[in-house]
Amino acid sequence: MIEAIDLSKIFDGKTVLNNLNLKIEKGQIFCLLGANGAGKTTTINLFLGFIKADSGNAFINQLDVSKHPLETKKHLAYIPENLMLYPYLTGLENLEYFTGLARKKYSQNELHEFLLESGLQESYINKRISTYSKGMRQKVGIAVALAKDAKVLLLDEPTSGLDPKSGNEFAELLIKLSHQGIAVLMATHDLFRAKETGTHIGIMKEGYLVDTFPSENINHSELESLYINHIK
Amino acid sequence: MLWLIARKELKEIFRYGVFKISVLILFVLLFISLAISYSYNQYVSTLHTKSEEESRELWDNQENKNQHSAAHYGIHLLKPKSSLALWDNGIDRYSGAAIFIEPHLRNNTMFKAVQDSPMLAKWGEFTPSYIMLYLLPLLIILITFNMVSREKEQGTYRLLRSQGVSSLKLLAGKTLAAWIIIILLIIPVFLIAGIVLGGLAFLNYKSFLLLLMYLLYAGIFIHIGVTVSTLINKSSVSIIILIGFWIFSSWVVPKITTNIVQNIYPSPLESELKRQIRDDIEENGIQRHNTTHKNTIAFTNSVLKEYNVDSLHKLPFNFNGYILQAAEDTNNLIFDKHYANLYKLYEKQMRTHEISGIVSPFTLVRQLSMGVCNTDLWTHIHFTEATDEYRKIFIKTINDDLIKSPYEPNQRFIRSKDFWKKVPKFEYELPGLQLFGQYYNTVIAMYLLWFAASLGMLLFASKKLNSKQW
Repeated sequence: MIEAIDLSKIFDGKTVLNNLNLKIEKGQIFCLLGANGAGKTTTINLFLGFIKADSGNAFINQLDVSKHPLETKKHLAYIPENLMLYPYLTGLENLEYFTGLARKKYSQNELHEFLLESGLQESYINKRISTYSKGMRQKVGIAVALAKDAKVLLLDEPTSGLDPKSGNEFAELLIKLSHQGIAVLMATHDLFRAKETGTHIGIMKEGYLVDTFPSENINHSELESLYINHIK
Repeated sequence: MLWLIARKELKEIFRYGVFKISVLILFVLLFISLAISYSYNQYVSTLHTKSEEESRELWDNQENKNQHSAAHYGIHLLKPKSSLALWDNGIDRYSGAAIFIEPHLRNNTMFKAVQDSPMLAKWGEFTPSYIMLYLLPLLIILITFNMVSREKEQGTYRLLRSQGVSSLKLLAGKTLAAWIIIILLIIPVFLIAGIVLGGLAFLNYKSFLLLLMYLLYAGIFIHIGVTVSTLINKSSVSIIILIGFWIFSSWVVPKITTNIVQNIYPSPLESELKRQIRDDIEENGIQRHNTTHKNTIAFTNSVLKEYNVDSLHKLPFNFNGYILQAAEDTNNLIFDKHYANLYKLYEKQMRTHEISGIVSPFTLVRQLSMGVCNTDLWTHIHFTEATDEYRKIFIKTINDDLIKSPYEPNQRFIRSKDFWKKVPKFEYELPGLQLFGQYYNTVIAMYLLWFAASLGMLLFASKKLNSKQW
């Protein structure tokens, strides 16, 4: 579903991503951990096609991102750290717009259902986004992924700044989506959430993916020690 | 997809408080300008109709008198008002509305609104075209300045791109939204206001051509607005650039160009032109009323010689009428020469002015708007030339009658009302598109080029946006 083969990116002569090799299958949640500047967001941006790789390839659903930039986007949904939507439109209108851009057509009732499924309170569905909290906007982002029938979900520190309750709700949603067969790549600083949510964890340092392992093989304190050791 | 993007833009724009207030202000100003133009036009039209009718009535009902004396009472010819003058009164307020026709002289137009008019006429320049050409671009800037830069600033652009939307479709959708707003604003206002104020006569090919020009002008600003918003990441910088362009195009360039043109090709003062013509006639013309003038004496002698007679009584026609017409023919050549030079000068001025259209679409649309509304310089010249042709016929009709009259130097031949009515009436229609095409082909080409270039800028912006890494 998500694959990187020898993927590298250089910015201003500095290698920010070095020969990344990664494969995330259907139903897996891969959490990328690492300090700021480790290359997590660069990896996400390369899969999104927002930046071009200097070498190697990024694949979404077996399609090379650099060769099929528009086609690959049909299969993915993206939620950044601070998901910004159109403040003058309601949650429902935002969802309708983004699913429409993905060439998906739904009735107002179906869109309504997607928003409820993503955990948004019904009373907020027809309110303007300007009245939403960050957690509520993230839920609209999940609703877009659901409505878009995305095969791949790319998340860039999505739980950063969320209160614990919202963070938990978001994690539950991710697990639910993975059970539906979606492959998730999530860049995060949150070790606890990575252990709780992820099926696999990768640690990045200075552009290198220095370690990967299934999350079930490690407990919270082991993960913390391992992480600190790697980023020293 | 285009409609989807456009519809979302429209929803957002219609929910902006600033947009609603701006449209309201624009509508209020538009209707005020319509009311002012309407009142002013009603005043001028009434004055015109009344003056022309009264002038002809005075001519037709003159008491018995000599033909030439009657001709000196003259007749006023009024320039008709185009139904579109309501929209754009162009140079009408400066060029004058009537010409006084009399023998021996070619008069300039009179009743210039800026010289002698009630206070109402001083407001005459606040026309609907003023709103369309000066203020509508401001509304367009308000709609477009942050159309794309806002997406980048608020972070929705990355989300948009993650949906697989191409830059071209995104910009096309946003441009379509701006077009829809402008079309929804311009067309109903133009048609309803036009019909209410000008009646069904307003619905003619010229008004549709004018509408098309306004739409193209709006289109140029829409395309430039979206382009700048795409290329500039900050909305605050984008609006400064766009307002700067608006000031440059609508205010700075026209003023600078007018000054440059006046310096390169200065227009002669009216008094100076009259002096030059008077001197030329003094030198080369025939002055019937000055029998001791060398040219008058020479002409008289040549006629006597040609008919081989020694006295004016022996000529087979009335010499008074003959020399009057000869003076008209000779002096008309002098008038024609000086006015042709003046028109050549005007043409040079206009052609130089056209060059400013390279950097300012405003100067182009301003000329085209006046041209279609028949309130431009060429229409004015067309009218004055028609009046001069009529003057020649008017005077010749009188002189021909005098030529056939018995020659009695000490006794003037008298004519009655029946004769006055035989003098043809002045029939004049404002020029159609032929004149417009003749004088504005370069301006039209430049205008269309601006529109095409603005589309090209949009395409360039979409490519830049596509190639940019996010």
